[in-house]
Amino acid sequence: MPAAKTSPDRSDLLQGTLDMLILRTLSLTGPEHGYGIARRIQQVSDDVLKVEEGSLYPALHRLEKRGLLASHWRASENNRRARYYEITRAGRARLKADTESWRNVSAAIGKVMGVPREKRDRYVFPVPSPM
Amino acid sequence: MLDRLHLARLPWPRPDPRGEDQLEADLADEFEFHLAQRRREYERQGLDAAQARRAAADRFGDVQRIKAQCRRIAREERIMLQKINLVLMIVVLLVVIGVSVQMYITQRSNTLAIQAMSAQLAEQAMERKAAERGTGVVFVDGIIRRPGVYDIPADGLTMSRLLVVAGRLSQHANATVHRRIDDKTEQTYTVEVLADGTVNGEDLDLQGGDLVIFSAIRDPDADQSPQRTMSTSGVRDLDAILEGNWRQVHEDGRILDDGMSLTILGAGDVRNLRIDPTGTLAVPELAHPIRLVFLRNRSPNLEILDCFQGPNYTARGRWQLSSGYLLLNLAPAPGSQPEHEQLRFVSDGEPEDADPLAVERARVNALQDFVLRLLTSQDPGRERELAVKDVLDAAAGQLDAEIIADPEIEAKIRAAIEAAKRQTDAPKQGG
Repeated sequence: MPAAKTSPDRSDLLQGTLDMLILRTLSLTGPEHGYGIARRIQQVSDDVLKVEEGSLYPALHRLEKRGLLASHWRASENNRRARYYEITRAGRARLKADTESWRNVSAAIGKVMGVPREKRDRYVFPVPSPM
Repeated sequence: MLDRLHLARLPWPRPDPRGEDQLEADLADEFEFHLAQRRREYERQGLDAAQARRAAADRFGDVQRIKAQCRRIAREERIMLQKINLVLMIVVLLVVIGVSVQMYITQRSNTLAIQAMSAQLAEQAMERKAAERGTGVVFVDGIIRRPGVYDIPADGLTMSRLLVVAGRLSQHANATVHRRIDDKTEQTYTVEVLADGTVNGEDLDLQGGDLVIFSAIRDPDADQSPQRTMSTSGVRDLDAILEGNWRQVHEDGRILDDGMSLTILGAGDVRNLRIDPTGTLAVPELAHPIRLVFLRNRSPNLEILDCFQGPNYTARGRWQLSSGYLLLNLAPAPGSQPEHEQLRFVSDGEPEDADPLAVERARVNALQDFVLRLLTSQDPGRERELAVKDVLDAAAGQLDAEIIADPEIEAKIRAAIEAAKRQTDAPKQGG
């Protein structure tokens, strides 16, 4: 995900975010197929992020093309062919960079939106209650 | 733009090795798997097959649209790759063309440079050849019709040409060309000229500074000329050897070539002999007449040509000195006075008949003096004890190499070295 886009297009932002989520998910799990990745994201995000599952696949294919993911086919139960993805070294590097950028951006957004301190990422000290 | 940025930063996108059919099959399988999993999930949650199928399809989205997206992605990369390949190819092509053009230009300029250099070298060679011809004049004398000094034309002068300009000979003759190579050496060429005035055999290219003497070829059986018969008579001891590199003095005193050193070997009064630049051999104020022997450097022996006697002798005759020893020109010019060449210098005033032993002794003495001169002329700081080889080498430089090659002569020189060594310690004796 690009760190500082001057005027982020919504779809670009979402797309970039999705990429990051995929990379994050795969960095925590072993090789996983597309369905499994979708379910993971859904679980971890407390069901808030219900990825349009279809859009997952263009993202996966694109990430693979760029070398951030690697895929291989495996026969699953029922003798169906399933494609499994795993993160590559380059993917991990990208993830690290994107995570950093995301944290900066989200903090900025939080500031702008007036999110209470305790809800922000960089919350360190408890806010003293007013007297 | 995202794509491009990614492309720029990421490792090389792997080309999709699968064909179109494979791509379709993969997409179908991948999506179908997903849908099947979702359907099963819904069925586990209680939906029936049909409901599950519909819910799964809704959740997934428009399969065709997404497939198209995936196809586009695959193709985009391919197109991108193709574009990259194309760009690369063009770049490589340009580089190759550029290199080829560069090489061609370099080669061409090299060729031109080489041509220019060759032309320059040829020009320099021509200039050098022209320079080698030296002063551009040759000195011509002897039985030629028009002796004198002749310019060498720009395209050179051969013997044949010289015969044309200097006047044809009417007899069979030898043209002896004395050419000075450097301060110490001189080369002699002989060209035979036939009675009709043409050159017999290979023509000779003359160079500046050459001295050309035409002499009649005598019948070998005929009697020796009167000058010649005098050559060995009256010789007892050698008083002096005139040594030098002097070209020629003309009969009327005109110097045709001068300026080289003259060394007089010998003892005593002989050292008062001088040949001055005008060509005059003067022996002023001698207490007694001396004998001068003129030696010709001729293999394998030193040949005594003539002797001159008298207190004073002005060289008006035609004789030439060449690289080491005084030569006597055996061919008198027409009209010259033979008496001039019969003057002799005798040290004791009394001519005696030739004695072969005396001749031999004379030669040895000459060599002895020569070696002595070599030894005494050494650098004072240098070791006097020269190796025989050094002296022989030095002697070879002075004398003709052929002389040294003769073992007899070599032995004599060695003996002379020994005697000279003894003499360096002992006081010098005359004669």
